[in-house]
Amino acid sequence: IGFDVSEDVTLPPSQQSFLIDPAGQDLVREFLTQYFAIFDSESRQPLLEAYHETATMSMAANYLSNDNRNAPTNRLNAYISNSRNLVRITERESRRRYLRTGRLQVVSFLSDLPKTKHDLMSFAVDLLVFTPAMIVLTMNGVYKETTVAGNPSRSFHRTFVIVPNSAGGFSITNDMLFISNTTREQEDTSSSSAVGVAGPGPASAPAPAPAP
Amino acid sequence: MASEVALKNVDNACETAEEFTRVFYKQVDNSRHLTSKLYLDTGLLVWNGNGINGNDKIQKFLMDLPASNHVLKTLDAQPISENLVANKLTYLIQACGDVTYQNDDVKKPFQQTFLIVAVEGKWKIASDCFRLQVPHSN
Repeated sequence: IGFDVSEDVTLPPSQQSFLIDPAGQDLVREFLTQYFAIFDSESRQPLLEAYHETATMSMAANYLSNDNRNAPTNRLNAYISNSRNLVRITERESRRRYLRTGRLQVVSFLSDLPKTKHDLMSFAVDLLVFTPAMIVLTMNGVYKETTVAGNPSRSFHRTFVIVPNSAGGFSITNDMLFISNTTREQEDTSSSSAVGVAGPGPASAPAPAPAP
Repeated sequence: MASEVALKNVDNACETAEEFTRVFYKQVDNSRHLTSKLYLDTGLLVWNGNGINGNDKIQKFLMDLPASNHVLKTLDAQPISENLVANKLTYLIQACGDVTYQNDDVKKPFQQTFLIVAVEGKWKIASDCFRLQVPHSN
């Protein structure tokens, strides 16, 4: 005789995307396509147009737990040295400094991150807020570093807070990025997909101000 | 140059994020029946792409998930400009770590983003986006 406790507890199936308002879908797709075309290009400077004058941006990076892969490509040194992980960075002064403030600082910081190629098809995008005053969306996905030997892939989670600007387009006011290694499962999926690293993105940056 | 008030708000965002995540994961892991009190009545939970609106439904959804244990490894926080959110103090919080579920002892990496709002002296979750780090492709 057993006990009446549910043993077969399974997790609900995951969905690729959630949209709080389906009306936001085209705008979000367009915004992300333009943003990552520039992000993956030779120069990230045109992203200045995508950020609000007083935008803030922070990045935190960490290793996977129990990851015994020890190849050089698994090292996250390029990120960890600038990681604003509040679990480790406990001084107020450092926490302030690691928060990049103002579009110049933000884009300068982004420009120093390794060159990338994002696979937009691999993104899970959740649109959390979609009002005339404010858009909040999160992305989860993988990208490859294009100029590092072995083209390591990374997993990221990123949130944009976006507001309409006076020019009729949109500006990012908050950008928060988490970077980690890809799991084996993520690597298997991305290597079996048709999208590989086809060089460092489009050389000519598209029109910078993401507009509706 | 950021003003002293703005910098203090950055400090406060960080310290609130520490306190908030301590409370949140303790509730979810140990007293889950109380967790929905942390959300606005109109709060939104997006759990691996499944959207759940309103704290009654969030409570029911959470109760149906297997028992969990979250370990926070990475935390980040930023203030959101107050004029965006009806002049309510609002913070963006990103929490990452490992979760294990009752049916499966494997540590799963997760990433979770919260928008929390100060309402009548209490922090409430306006939206909560939880994702396990798994492949997405269609």
